[in-house]
Amino acid sequence: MTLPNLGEFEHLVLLALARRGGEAFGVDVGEEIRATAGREVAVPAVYVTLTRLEAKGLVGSRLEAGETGRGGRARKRFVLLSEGVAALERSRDTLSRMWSGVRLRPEEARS
Amino acid sequence: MSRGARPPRLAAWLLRRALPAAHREDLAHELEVRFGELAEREGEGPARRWYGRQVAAAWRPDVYFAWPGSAGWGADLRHGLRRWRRQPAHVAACVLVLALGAGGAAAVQAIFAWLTGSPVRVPAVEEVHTVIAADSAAGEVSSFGRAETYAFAEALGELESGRQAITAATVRRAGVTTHERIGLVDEDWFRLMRIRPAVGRLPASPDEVLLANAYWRGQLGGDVAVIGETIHVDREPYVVVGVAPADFQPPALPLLWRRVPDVAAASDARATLLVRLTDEAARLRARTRIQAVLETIDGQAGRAVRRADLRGVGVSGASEGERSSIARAGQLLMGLALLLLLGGIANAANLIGGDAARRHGELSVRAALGASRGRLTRQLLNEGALLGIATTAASVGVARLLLWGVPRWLPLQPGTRLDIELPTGAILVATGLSITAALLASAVPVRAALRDTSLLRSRSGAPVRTGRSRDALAAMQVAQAVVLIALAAGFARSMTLLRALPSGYAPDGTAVFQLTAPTTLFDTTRVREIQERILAAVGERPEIRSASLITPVPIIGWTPREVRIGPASAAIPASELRTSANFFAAAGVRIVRGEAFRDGDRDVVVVTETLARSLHPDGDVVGRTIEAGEGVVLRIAGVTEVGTWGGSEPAAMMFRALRPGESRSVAVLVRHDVDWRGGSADLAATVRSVDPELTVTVLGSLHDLHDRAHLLTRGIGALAALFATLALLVSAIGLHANLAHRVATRTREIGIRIALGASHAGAVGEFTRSGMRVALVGLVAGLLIAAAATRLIQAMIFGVRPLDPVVLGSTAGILGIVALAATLLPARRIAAIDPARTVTAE
Repeated sequence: MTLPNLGEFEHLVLLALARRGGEAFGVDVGEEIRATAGREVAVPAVYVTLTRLEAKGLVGSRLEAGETGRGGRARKRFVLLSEGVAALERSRDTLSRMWSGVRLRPEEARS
Repeated sequence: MSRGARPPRLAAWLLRRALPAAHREDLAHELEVRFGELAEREGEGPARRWYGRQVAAAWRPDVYFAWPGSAGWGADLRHGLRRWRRQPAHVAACVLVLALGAGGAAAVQAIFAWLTGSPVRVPAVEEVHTVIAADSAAGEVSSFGRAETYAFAEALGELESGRQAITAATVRRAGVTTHERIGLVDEDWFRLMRIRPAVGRLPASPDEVLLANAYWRGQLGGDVAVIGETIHVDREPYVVVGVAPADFQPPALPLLWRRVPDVAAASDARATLLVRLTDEAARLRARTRIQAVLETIDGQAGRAVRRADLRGVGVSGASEGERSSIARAGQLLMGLALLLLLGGIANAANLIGGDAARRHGELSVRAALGASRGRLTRQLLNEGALLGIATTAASVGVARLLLWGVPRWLPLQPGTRLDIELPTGAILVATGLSITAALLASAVPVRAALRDTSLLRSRSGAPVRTGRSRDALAAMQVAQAVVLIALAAGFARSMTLLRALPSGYAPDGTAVFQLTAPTTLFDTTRVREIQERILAAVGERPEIRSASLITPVPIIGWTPREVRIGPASAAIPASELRTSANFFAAAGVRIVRGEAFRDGDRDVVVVTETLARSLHPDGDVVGRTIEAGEGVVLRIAGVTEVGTWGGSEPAAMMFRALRPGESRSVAVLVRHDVDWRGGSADLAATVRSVDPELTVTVLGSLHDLHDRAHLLTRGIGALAALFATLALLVSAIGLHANLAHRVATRTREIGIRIALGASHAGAVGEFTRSGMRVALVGLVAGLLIAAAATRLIQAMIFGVRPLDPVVLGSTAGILGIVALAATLLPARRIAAIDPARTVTAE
């Protein structure tokens, strides 16, 4: 299977999922991005991205019975699949090769 | 806090609206669960703040970048702002014409709220009642002398009571002395009013004062360090111990309250008795119980006593009749403002319609790329909403400007400072009207622009034909301008006619001053001496021809009486002024029969011809006696000429002899040489020099008092004139824009016609005539509506008929001149058309 290329935000979402041990609710992924990357993200944006990654086969999900909620509604927990891990590794390698040997100009280094 | 904590309903609803249907339930549930977890872990406050951030992020397209559909709103707003940058004049014109109407309506609402008085804000105000006694001589009174209020004390029983008097005093703080209104209250009054100080405590002794919150915030910067400071009231030191709460606003709000053991004795103003049932009494029985108690007082006071809800006494102390007049005036003004707004909507629709016609190419391209009519409509309406937001800000500015300017245009008492605030309600009015008006102004041209079914097929740049609708809009603007001009002209003519009525006095060369002698500083003997010295000092000035004491202030005040010429005759209502003998010379009142009274005369009156005829239609009243209240018998010494005395019909007045010292609160009326150019301030200085502790207030001339008597009519007239001017400006813009658009879109056609032999002058004439035809249609429609509108305001104007030729003629003249100028300006561009260049241009 050809692994899809990851967009920047998709990369962040997958990494956050990985940092959470490979399994998390959508809200937790958003909080991980905010806490670690220092970037404000909207939970709905994270949720949509996870759904798109699920459609790409990089992420899976399962429903879990919630402890609270209207009528005991189940919550969706997202799981990082092996294809998702492979896509992350490929993306990391690609970026590393691109960074290799790059000398930033002094002005850029200071900014 | 339990895990079952739920986010706020409104926030949850907003979040759901922002979520697409596919993920709505899952996400909403997810966020709700997280809210509960946060609430349990960190508290409901942090959880609410977190949830609010999620709601805000869901509605922000730039954060929620992957959200399908959200980009449309942001794109529309960004596109709208880009277009604004390219057409600042067009946007400014649209915003201006809408903001004038919306801001005017908001200003009217603020003025109306101010006129009718802020609601009396006293805790449980419906339980507090003012005791009012019916006095057949003076009408109803709500204040009593010392013996009376303490005689009621025994009968009050189940009632809590407190006494207050509002009086004038000199207040000195930080080296600055001003004349202010202060409240004298007894110790029970604070408990009766249920006051809890915002800062400090309540006065516990007579040398302590409580400041009003408005004074503390406005003049002292809300500085708590003022507690403990010394302030001098009528030259006596008092310690500031507290500040009243901001929401405590009793009628006639004073600067401060001073506690006194005996209110009635401490003030030259009589004390008002306030009562309330004690907490234990049943509220439903309150009115019946109070009435029963007051009937006991009735027996003791010897006159009918009733109670009135404290809320009935507004901040301005307006009577029922005055509030009814003010309500009618407020409705009229709001109608005028909304009419102005209607014209603004028509004008903005005209301008936006022209712009939509120019954008036909752009809209066609978007439609060709797949945008539906709904999408295009949404885009144009979003731009209209953006216009509404800009209009809101501008209308608040217009409202503030009007509220700043209106008090300066009105003929108020010299030295009166009037600051009318823009309340929240008025701002909401401005917001609602602005957004509604902008959307309405956008909707008409949107519909017109998209109605053209050739939208998808037309070549780029082909104009959309909107000529007839734009003419109709321009005519509508002209009609509303005509109505406003006619109403303003009606008010102006009314004031002119009122001034032309025989007043009964000679107002030129007069000046009036109000004197107030506080009880704490002036005893009766001193009051008499002061008044005699003032008359002497003023009379010594070479430019002064005569001076007189008078109470109350003439034209704007009088004492109502009922007089009888015999015990069996009917009581006739009359208005009494008490004056010294020089009054007739000072006021320029002509005695037509008999003579004026002399200094020292007692129980002698001079009546107007109108009252004389009412008393004795068949004979002469000079020398006869009349009864004016129980035991008051007066001899008629003379009769003056007929006069309106500030009203709109001949007044039944009687002038009764007043000796110096008989009244503490008097006015001084002086007549000076007509060619004397000195000011009232100069004369006031002479009066003040007699005794610096006297409070002297400059009221102006008899002309000024006459204008003040008609303040409401003049105020409405001034605002109507302002709205009319604005409406004229708006309609001129509309006519100009209409014709300019027509010239611009038909430039090629005109060039061809001129190339084929038509003259420039002929083309200019043709377009000018077309513009004037639109103005004429608007003029005729406007005059018909104005005639009907004048009928509605007959009660507020004097001597102006619905089809008054002067009013209609002046309206048509003003409108005609402005319309001609507005149409000639764009039509003149035709003269600059070069047919050769126009025909060959693509």
